Parts: sequence; C-alpha cells; structure tokens
Amino acid sequence: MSFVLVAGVIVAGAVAGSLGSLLGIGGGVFLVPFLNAVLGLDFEVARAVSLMTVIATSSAVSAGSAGKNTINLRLGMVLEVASTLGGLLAGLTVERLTEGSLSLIFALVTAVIAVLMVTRLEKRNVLSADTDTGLLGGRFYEAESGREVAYRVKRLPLGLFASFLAGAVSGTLGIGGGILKVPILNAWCGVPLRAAAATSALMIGVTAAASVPLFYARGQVDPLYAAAAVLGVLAGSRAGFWFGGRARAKWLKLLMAIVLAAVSVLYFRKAFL
Amino acid sequence: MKASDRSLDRLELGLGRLLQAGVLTSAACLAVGLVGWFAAGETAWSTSALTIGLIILMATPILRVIVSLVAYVRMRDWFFVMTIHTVFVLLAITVWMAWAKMQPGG
Repeated sequence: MSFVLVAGVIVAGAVAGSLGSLLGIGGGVFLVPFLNAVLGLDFEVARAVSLMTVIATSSAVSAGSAGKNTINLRLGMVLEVASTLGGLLAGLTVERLTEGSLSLIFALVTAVIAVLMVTRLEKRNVLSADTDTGLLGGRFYEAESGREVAYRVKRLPLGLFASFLAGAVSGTLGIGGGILKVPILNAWCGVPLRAAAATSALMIGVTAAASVPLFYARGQVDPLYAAAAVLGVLAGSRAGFWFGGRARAKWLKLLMAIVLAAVSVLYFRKAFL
Repeated sequence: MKASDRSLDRLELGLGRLLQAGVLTSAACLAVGLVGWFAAGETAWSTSALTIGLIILMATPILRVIVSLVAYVRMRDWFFVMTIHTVFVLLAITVWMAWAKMQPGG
C-alpha cells in the first residue's frame, strides 16, 4: 500500500467534504466515484470507506446544529425506523448484486441527484408560532424573519417511504442519501428546508451504522483508507463551511451537477460495456 | 407539553455533546494511527489506534440511539420508546450479524 494512494484518499476526502458542505449535501456522492474510478479502489471498499465518512459528517454536523431546534428529534426517530431498515436490508443483500447492476444503480442515482441539485425548490412551509404542531411537527427560530416559526408534518407515509429508499440507496452505494429525502420532506411533507436538512443530517449517521458494520465484518472497511477519508472529509467540510459562508454558490451547483452527470455517464458505460 | 419540550431541548443538547465527543475521539485515534503508519509503517500500535477509531465512529450513532431510548423511557413517552426501540433492534441485528461473521468460522 503506497503513501501516495493514502495521501490521495485524504485529498479526495477533503475535496468531497468541502464540496459537500458548500453545496449543502453530503460528500459521498463525490467520494465514491473518486475512490472507485479515479484511485481504482474496488466499489465495495469505496462504498464502505465512504459510509464511514457519512457517519463522521452526520455526527459533526448534528453536534454543530444541536440546540438550534432545527433538528426534529421526534420526526427523525420515526423516519429512522424506515431508513435503518433500508440500510440493513441493503447491507444484507448488496453482495448479490452484480457489478453491472451496481454500476447501473449508481448511474441512475447520480443522474437523479444531478437534476435535484439544480432544480431543488425551497418551500418555506412555516406557520405562525402558536400553531399546534401535532405529534411530529416542530418549531425553531428563523433568522431571516427574526421570529419563531412552526410547522406540521403531512403525508408521513411518503416521508417513511422516502427514508426507506434513501436508507437502501445509502447501504447500496455508500452515500448518505440526504439529497434524496430532503426534497421530498420539503416539497410534500410540510417540513421547512432547514429542519429537513438538519434532521436528515442526524439520520444519515444511524442509517449508515445499520449497514457499515456488515461491510466492516467482510473486511471492506480498509482501516488506512477509512482513516484518511474520514480525516479528509472532516477537514474539508470545515474548510467548505469557512469558505462558503452563507453565500449560495449557484454556479458551483451547476458545475457540480455537470460533474455528476459525467459520473453518471461513466457508470452507465461501466454497466453496459 | 412544556415540561416535555424542555426535556427534549436538554436531550438534544446532550446528544449533540455525545456526537461531538464521539467524532473528536474517533478522529484523534484515526490521526494517531495514520501518522504512526506514515512514520513507522504498519505496527501493532498504529493498527489498534485505527481499529479503535473506526469502532468509536461506528458506535457513536448507536450510542445516540441508546441514550435517546433511556431518555424517552424516563419521559414515559411510550410511543417514542417503541419507535426508538425498533431502531435499536435493527441496529442490534446488524451488529450481531457483523460480530458473528467476524468470529472464527463465522
């Protein structure tokens, strides 16, 4: 195992982590293809290593947002039933997928994410603070309007289904899956974007923990690559946060959507050639 | 309702500290292991630092679920006790299967 490769994994983690925090998505969708297609690691190793970084990102981001009330613990715990089930089922069955079908799934998911990144709408979904939020709703202080806002959760079965799907995709491909469920929670389930993102960030750690021990037991979590990637991602996401500030980098989003579209094409070719 | 909101706030802060401690401890172990490996190659020392770091990382979200479960039992909020318990059972299945796989002959 060469120093250069480990150093390459650190850099890959740092780039994926900073892109992830600049774009407000996890870095896994960039890290997996980089480890697999650029550095030449097996897909199983890339997936397992990336899931370790997903846990690290989840813990770090949630620790940072705790106390701001944007994390909806109750909703998160209900949705985690579905997402951990998805993660566990993926962890148990993913070995049976052929390399071709795995590439095809990865190609499809990256294509969907590329589209979501540029078309994602933001619905505010906020009600006045004195509204009854129901069992799963929440309230938090919204900095833009300078007041406390409340929201109610609608269409819970759809949220559960999206979480299950995101969990299954997470365990299959090694990405967090937040970008798949956050738009659904925001567009159809009545959750404001910030609450959906913070709740999702908390959920992806436990979702990854439902599959990654299985990959660890199979020897797919290479300790050196995992350490390198985790440290890279943690450093990178700090840097990304520091650079990005609160500015919405529209052009960066577009650029990375194009990169993801190219990744998608690459994996479509892998699937069929 | 107000009292349970306050417990929920406290729980959120406690979980935040737990996650912070988990990710920092894990990163420290991983850094020690990685630097050791860069400096001296693969030694028993660097290998165990890396292993401990990775185990702590995987254990952190699981510990978060256990702490939440205890908190909701204390709040006597049985709907959420059941919910978190289900998540806990799913995680326990994963860990148990991984453990069985790692035993000799597993």
